[in-house]
Amino acid sequence: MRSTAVTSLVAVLVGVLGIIGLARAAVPDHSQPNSSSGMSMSMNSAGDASVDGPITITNAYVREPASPDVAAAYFTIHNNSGSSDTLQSVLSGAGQSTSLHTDTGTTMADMPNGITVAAHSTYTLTPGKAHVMIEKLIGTLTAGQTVNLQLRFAKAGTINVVAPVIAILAPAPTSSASK
Amino acid sequence: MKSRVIAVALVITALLAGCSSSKSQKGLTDTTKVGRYQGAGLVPPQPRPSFTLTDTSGQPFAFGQATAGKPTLLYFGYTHCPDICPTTMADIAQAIGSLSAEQKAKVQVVFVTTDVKQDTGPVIQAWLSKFDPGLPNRFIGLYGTQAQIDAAQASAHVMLAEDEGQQHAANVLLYGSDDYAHVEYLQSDNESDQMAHDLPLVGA
Repeated sequence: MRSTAVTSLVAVLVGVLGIIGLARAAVPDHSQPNSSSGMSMSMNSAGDASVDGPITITNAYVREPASPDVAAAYFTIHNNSGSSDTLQSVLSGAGQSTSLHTDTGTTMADMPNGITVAAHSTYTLTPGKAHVMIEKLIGTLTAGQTVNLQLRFAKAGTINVVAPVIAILAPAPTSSASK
Repeated sequence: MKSRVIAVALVITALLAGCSSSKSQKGLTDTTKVGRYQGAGLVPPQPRPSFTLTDTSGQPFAFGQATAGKPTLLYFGYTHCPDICPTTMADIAQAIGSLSAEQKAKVQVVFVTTDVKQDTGPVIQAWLSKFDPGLPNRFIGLYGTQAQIDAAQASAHVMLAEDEGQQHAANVLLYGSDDYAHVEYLQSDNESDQMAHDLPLVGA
């Protein structure tokens, strides 16, 4: 019957609008507090994957640098959203200059277009694959300190991460939540 | 001649495989075992090269003579490298650190800088000292003129570094006590384990 079809159609439309509304609410908005969860979406400390925003960052760390002039930061990007997002740049309080690089085995390459992470996927910056190169270091970095990283995503906006500095021979942090 | 071409092709393939972006998100884990070594086998084995550079105390260092008969890990890199070089040196340190005291004492590590401009003796010394504390044999750091560095790389059959040393071969060569390199190591998540496994097989 036509009324049943219309009811079904309306139900589907309501469902779709509801889903869109949920998705929109999940995108952090800097101009107003995020009402979909108790925590601000823009703060995300290393290893904290319990806040299910569109982008979460885990296992962030900076290796204690052997050189006084250059350090590297690593982390895992979890794109929990249904669309791809791009990490465009990273700033750090540890140095005046930061660059996103991938490693090719013999050299490192700039990433002028950033790092794109597909929907519902993860991307891990890890030695030999990709890193954030921090130069013009401000002071010395020693194990036990923390480094602030400001990650700028095209859609998710700015995400602040606190990365521990780990000793040169210490194992990189891992967590089962990063899989 | 032909086997050398095959060896080079194998190395290039291994290098390309090592840096392939199709590896898992977790990182690059190389669990291939060719024969008895966990590292990348070199066929035919490469003889220990002879080249002379300057060590961090400013003295000439004849690599072939000074390391003859000793299991020696040789790596070409530069100290302003943020990622691969410090990771590789840390892997080397961890591999040696996992050996027995007797084995540790036999292994030599030689780092040759490809950055002729910035990596002076003191810079190299300070950098290496971050990796070898606690090991019986301090890592040896070498530098030289561009021509000397190129000659050293050529004698070790590694790709000549370009872009002021920033683009360089990332393989670690292991010369055994028989003065041949039967195996080398490429960047991977378990590079340290591979080296620790193989070092005792080549005289450590």
